[in-house]
Amino acid sequence: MTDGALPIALAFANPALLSGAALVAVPIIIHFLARRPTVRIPWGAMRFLREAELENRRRARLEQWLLLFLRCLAFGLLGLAFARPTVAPGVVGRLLGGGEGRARIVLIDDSASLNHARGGAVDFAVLQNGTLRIARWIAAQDDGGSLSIRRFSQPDAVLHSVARLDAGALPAVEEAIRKLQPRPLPGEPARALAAAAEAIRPLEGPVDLFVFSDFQRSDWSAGDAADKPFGPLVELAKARAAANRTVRVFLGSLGGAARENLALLDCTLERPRIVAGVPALLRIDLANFSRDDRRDLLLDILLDDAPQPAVRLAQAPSQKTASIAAEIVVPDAGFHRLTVRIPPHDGLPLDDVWRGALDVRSSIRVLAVHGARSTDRRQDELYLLRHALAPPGPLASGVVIDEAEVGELAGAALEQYDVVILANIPPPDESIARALQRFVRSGGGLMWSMGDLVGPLDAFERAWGPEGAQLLPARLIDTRTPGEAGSAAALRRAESSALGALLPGEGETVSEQVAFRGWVKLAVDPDTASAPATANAAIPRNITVAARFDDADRSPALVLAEVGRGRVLLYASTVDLDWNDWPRAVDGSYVVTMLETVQFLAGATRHPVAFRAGQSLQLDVAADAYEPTALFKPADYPESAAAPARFNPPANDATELLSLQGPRAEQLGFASVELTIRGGSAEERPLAVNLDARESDLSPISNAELSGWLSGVKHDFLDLNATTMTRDQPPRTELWRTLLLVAAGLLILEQTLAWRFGAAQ
Amino acid sequence: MPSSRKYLEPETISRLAGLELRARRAVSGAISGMHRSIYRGNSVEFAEHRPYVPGDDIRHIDWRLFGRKDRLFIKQYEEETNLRLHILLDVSASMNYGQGGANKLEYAKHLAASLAYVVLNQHDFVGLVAFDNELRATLPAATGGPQMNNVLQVLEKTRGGGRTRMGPLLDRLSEELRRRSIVVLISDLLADGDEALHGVEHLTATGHELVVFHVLHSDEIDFPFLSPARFEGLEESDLLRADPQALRRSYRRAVERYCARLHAVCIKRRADYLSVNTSVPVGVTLTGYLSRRSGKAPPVAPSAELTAEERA
Repeated sequence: MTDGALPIALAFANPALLSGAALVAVPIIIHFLARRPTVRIPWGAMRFLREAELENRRRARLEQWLLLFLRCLAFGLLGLAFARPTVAPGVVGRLLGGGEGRARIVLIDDSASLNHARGGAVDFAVLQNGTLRIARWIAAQDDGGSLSIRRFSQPDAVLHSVARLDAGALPAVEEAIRKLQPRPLPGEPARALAAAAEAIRPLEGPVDLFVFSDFQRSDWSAGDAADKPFGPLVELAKARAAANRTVRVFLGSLGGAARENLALLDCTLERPRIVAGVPALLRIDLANFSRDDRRDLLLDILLDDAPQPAVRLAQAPSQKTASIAAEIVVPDAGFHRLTVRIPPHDGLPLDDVWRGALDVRSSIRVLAVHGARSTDRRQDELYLLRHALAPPGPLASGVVIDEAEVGELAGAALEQYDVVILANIPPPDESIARALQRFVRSGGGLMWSMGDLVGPLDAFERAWGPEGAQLLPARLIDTRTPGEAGSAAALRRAESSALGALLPGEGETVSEQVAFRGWVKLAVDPDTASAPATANAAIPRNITVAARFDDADRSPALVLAEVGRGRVLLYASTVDLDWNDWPRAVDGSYVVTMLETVQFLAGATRHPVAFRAGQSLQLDVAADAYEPTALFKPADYPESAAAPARFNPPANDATELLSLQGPRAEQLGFASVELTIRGGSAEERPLAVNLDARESDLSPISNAELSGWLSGVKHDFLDLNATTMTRDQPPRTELWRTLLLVAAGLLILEQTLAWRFGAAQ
Repeated sequence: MPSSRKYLEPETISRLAGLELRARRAVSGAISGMHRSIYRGNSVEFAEHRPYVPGDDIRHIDWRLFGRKDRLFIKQYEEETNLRLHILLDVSASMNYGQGGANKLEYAKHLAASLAYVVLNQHDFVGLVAFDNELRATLPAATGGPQMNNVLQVLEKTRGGGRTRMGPLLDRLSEELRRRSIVVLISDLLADGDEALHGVEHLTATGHELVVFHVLHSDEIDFPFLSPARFEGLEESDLLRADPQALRRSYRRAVERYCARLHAVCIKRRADYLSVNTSVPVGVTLTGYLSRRSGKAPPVAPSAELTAEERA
């Protein structure tokens, strides 16, 4: 068919099998073959016979011809079905007078998975060609129908629309279709179909909705509407059916050919905070959506475009995920761009790269406050803490520790520190408690350790508890001093918590060589522990017991909680050797636990490591440090314009964060945000945008599931790659199922009539 | 059994014992008998009184009535006379349908013989006419033991095979039978058109009492054939291909219509009509008819019950 020519209404996918239509002769042949030899009967009562024959002749002939006709028709249709006849969509409807003024809406999936290419041809081009064919076909029909084209990425906006598509309007439509490009965004079919339903709702006449997609399972089964992405459309179609305003849905897919893919799903940092010069552990997750295993994959790592040592993955099993750890060392503080790449093995390169924006600090600053110096320096709490957190030697821990007396706390610039450790100090005065309260709520970490100087427990609770600074995560019951009766207890990890990936597993002894002789018995109020975050987020929440003593009461030893944006930890024993010999444990568990604790208390950077395409860019900064203004620059800036940030004004509390809201991330790569520091200078931070991991799994959803969702709505499937969809032909509807059904119906009718006629004799 | 006696089976004879055929109407006979005569006679059966007229036999004056009425009345008596039964047997080709005892002609001959036996047994006269499109055999009415043998011999020898031409023949017979008689017509009455109906009307119009035994084979009543068949006329050369299943309903309706018409004509002409299925034994058919005719319940003899063989 050439453009402008009328399409052939009926075509055959297997024209060679048209000879099957000769089956129409089968009933006639059977009729002749099955004619039994007539019996000769000498008969006297011919007068009655002639009379009966005369009476029956006309009716019997009519019945026999009708039955024969039905049989022939059924067999003829059966034979015709072998030739797989196809008709242009809407032909039947037009024959019934419904073709005039039919509105056609093409909803085209331009999600990232359509970037997949096979043999040099991008999958999206198949959908694009399908749309072109639809447009040409409608123009050739010139039946007064309209066409509008929408995309999954922007379903609320019409890409192109014509009220009457004819040969004159076709070039503009074709140009608009040709300009279509797949976006690096996840498909959101439920949203797109809901928008299509809204577009259909005001239309008066019948509507054909063409949905062209790869029907990627991860897209179509995702989100809140996973079980009914067609929900609004189905409801609308059913509501319109009664008013002869039918909605027919044509689902055009890429066909059944498997699309293979190897994808970098995600990279996560094992430490919440990266310190310059200190090795950071990076876990890289891959997924192999191919039929074959992949071996010896070399992963490239780039830090600010500078190559880092590559990582070799021995095997990525088929249809499974695999993880590999990589160690990176960032030499200096500041924001850095990290890129991980896998070799381009497949047709979808978008997910072969992962990008991250690293907020690297020069160190973790700890202020250690002690109650009193020990006469033996080697027994001193701060000495032991310093050797644990910042051990002397060539390998830096990244922790810088300052020391202070209790009395010096009042004048300390706490905002310079990430963590404050209060080692065996008596209850402070109110001003110090309030200062520490502000410090924690604004994001700092606070740790107490117990000891002789803590003093009466009720006084300690008054200072730190609900009546005081509201920082205590547990109640202090009593003190078990080393001289009391009873054997020493060990420390066991109680439950999984954010504290310390390096600690032993749940229920295991932290160190088999350590005996705890004294501790403060703690009690965690279960109501408080399980209480959800309330409007008053400044009280301890998310309370977890990280370790317990294995005494009879299984007394909590390490209790964690979040307060505001900061974290607190209550250690029930001493950090020195007064109540235990943990600091001297030869297995190094004291050092590991203290380092993990400080890492945890220091908290993660507020700068997001990576965004997923389709997410809105967003950044929290300290309201007292930055002006409430920012400019988000997309990855292809300046080709694409920057967008000013929207922000939520902070509360009066100066410790609140300023939340900067940016535009939707629609470009993969490194975007950036330009901040203004209070005082006038500017700061630009990178923002990494990666492909949504859902787009990497290219396996399609089955037609049966789609049909299930569309139950009650007339729909058909179009294989956009099939032979019936050649370049010059519009997508056609297969008729063989219908023919089989009609043939079966005719045979049933024939049998029913034959029975009825027979019963009447 | 002698061949001449094959139409008179012992079972039938035993069943018919004690039954008689009496004329319903007055008949004319030459000798006294058990049947009401059309003539007033001097038998013991008083009929009525009538005024005396000169010339009457004074022996018939009722003197007692003269004593009461003071007028002369003559006593009149019913004359009882003998019966003449004429059996008209259709031996046309159409009667030759059926196998064995169910063959219509054989059945008709059994029926004729049995009927003759009953009548001759009551010392009445029996005559026989066999016909198709012409008279094939004629046996004048007579009584006595030899007549039974004559009847049986005629039945034995008579062969038909022509077309049924009932109309002219019955016209002719009704003219030849001058004395009022009982005429029994045994036939399938499958003549063309309304010829049979006209014949029946003509026979009754001349004062004869008519009894019609309409003999049909069960196939001709039920039309039980299943396979498509080619029906060849027994009397005509025509043939008809038909699917019996398709025609059955209409065929049965046609049979019923024809029988109903015959029956209606017979009722109108005060004739007896009996539709006879050849699957029913002759004895049963005849005892049933004779019993009904005489107003008695049919005799219940052991043989009256249909045996399995008879049903077959």
